[in-house]
Amino acid sequence: MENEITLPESEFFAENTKITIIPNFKHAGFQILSGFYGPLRPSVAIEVPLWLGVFLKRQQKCRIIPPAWMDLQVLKDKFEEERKKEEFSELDFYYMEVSSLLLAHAKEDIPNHVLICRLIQDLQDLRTSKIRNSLQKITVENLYANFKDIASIELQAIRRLLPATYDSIDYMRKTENND
Amino acid sequence: MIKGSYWDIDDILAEEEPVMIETTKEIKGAGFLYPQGTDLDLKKSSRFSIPLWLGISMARRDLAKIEVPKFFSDSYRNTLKADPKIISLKERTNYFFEVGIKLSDSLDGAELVKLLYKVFLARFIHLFNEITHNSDPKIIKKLTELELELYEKGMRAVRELYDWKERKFDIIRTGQSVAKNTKRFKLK
Repeated sequence: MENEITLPESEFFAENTKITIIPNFKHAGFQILSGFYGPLRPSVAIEVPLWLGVFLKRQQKCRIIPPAWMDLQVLKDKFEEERKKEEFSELDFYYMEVSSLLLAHAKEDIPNHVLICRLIQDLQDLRTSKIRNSLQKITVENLYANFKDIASIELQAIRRLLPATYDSIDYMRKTENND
Repeated sequence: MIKGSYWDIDDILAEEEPVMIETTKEIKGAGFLYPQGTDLDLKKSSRFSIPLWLGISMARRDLAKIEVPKFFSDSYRNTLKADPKIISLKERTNYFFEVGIKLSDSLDGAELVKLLYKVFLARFIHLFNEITHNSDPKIIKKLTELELELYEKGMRAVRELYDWKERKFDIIRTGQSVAKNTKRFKLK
């Protein structure tokens, strides 16, 4: 039971995504497990893992450039697309984790961060209701539900539930065929 | 989830469900099975209730016939087909689905199982709705043991999401079972 991925763990995975920062200090570079990042020069943009960016940001040593999808207009378009489409629209797999980390630690680097925060929340609600809707359509004859482009945060809601349910149904079906 | 394994505790408990049987033969030396019976032998066509596991193995040896339990009778099946969501299966038996599967060999087999997983799926979809909408916790009164397990899994995911959003996850908390125990120690 306990070896399932929890949300803090998936947040940990999300911290490995790359993000662009603009440092305001000089450094030869960081040699870490995922590779070498450097050299850092003031006002020269460089790509580092998210956790390193947040770590530096907390010490006021850099400015974070939010990812391209974390823009008000882009998110508004995504939201419209999401509303029209029946399936999930394409989004960063860790969109919720990355955005919540950035909104918590680098608010001042994100233009319109209040609106963006609200939009992402709305987006997540919308996507969660999509899971519900597609489960609504499942029948015994057609146990298939399309969860393409599902993101980590939505996966969380069904990660434990759906496999157990499908296993139980499978078990019942097997006894039916045995007769 | 149904494991159906020999060591599964739910599987064992499901087999405790009482069923009515009617013996088809005289069974020598089995008089003790009959409630308040003093005879040494079990007479032919005596009706009484025994645990499911014994009933099944007696039926398999053609010693007895299992009667269809009330919750698998035709009229109840019709009720189930009409609206599986609102029925309290727990009222009937805690192990509705498991008992159904185990009985399917002795009853009408495939048809019963088909009904079972149809009911299970319909109830699951309803359950999932309830979980994601954070609605009435009274729903658990209607759930069988199998569904309750799913409900708890779902609720844990909901709680986890909430905790994560509130950033409460890095606090180490006492496990539920331990918390209950300490309370009892204090009372002493």
